[in-house]
Amino acid sequence: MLMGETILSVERVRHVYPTSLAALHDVRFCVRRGERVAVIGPSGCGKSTLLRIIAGLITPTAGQVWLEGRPVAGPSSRVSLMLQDAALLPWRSVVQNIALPLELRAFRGVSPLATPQELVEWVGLSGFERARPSELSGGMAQRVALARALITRPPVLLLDEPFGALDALTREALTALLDQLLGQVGTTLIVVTHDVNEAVFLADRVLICTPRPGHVGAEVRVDLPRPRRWEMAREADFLSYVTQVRDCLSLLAYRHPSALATA
Amino acid sequence: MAAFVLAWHLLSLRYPTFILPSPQLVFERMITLALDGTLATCTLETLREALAGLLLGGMVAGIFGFWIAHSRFADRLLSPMIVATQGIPFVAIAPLLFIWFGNGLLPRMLMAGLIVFFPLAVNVVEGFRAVPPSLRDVFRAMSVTRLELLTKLELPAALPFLFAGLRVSVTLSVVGAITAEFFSAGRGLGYLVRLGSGLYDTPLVMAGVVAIIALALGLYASVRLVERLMLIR
Repeated sequence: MLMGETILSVERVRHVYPTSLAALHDVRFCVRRGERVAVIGPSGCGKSTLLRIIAGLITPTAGQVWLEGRPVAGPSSRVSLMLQDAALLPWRSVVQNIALPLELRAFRGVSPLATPQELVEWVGLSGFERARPSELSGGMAQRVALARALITRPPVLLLDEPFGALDALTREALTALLDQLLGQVGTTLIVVTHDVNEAVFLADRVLICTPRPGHVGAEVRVDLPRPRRWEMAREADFLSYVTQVRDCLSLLAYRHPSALATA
Repeated sequence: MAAFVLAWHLLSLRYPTFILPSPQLVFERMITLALDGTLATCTLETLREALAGLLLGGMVAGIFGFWIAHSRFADRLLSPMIVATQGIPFVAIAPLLFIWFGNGLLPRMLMAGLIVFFPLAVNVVEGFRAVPPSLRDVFRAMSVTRLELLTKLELPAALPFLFAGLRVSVTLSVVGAITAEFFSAGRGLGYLVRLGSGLYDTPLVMAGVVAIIALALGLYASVRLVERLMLIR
């Protein structure tokens, strides 16, 4: 994948919730076009908050996010968001759910990545076009959510622990599918996860967050060939990246700003 | 049903007609009323009042319910008042409505509207609140307009609740219209019943009651039918 200019930059973002819980502290990083970044950190470090800020759903207390050279002031049609909950409309069929964004004014004039029908095939749900979300398993629902997120050809895809609620085998199948689809589409990926293997598998770069209030404390570059396959997870290269990320996580858990202050 | 009519018939043999007329007598009276057009006129009038009241109460409940579900301020301000309206004995204010608004359609539909307002408002609020937050986030992230959020997410998600409210309130709207008719001269099934009671014409009273029950059941069944057609999931 050819990586271009900076598509997204997060500048000194700080966020404090009204309940005075500091969620993020001075987060800064850049993402280049086509790059895949995983954000990993202990639970409660504010990584989901960070993703919501990038998506324009939350305005940060301080700092600024830049998307394609413009400050993020609200949700953008250039960004797709996918959550742990597939969030499908229960009264729509699979195809209708995938086609939903195309009906919205924000995406008028956008040439879709493929027809909803084709996307159903791409995510491996042929035969389920007319099924309702209540008839789908958790993994199948996430496949639909992924197709819905990609149909508008978004330059940036944001994933918030998208496979966190799934069993291990389904999770592997879906991360492999995601890797393959991203390779075709060239979308920039930012994925928030608490799964080290998933982070290394998906990312070119893993950003490791400190405990609350979170900021990016370390970064591990993952230099593995694409497309990635889960067989790689048994190889020494992959395992060394996993170890690096794990070490960073446990180091950062102790070298916390508050711990530093008292040192 | 057959057993009920049989029991009614046997009982009616023991009492004079002005206390308990036989089912046959009531049926005959209904036929007479139907033939001279009284039944249709009265039923249509009551139906018109009930539906107008339902529409009015529904619109107000929709606006207030939407506002309450979307604003904490409106919830704090309005919810206690809406609950307080349930303490009003509606029968007691019916004469007031006629004093204020004359003897037209307005006081009758107001009566029906007042009665249906509460169950509808409660269900509108619950319906809008039942939209899962994750769906709301995904929709907002797709930079939807307010209208798109309403038509593509909030209304369809609230639909089962709206129908639950409608099922309750459609029969209540008949109750409201009948109540109003008891207090004013001239029109509707409620007036027919009161007229019969004034004349000790018990078959007429019972014919009216049967027609009211049939009207309420018919309305309820229509709502169920529309609901079933719209909520095939």
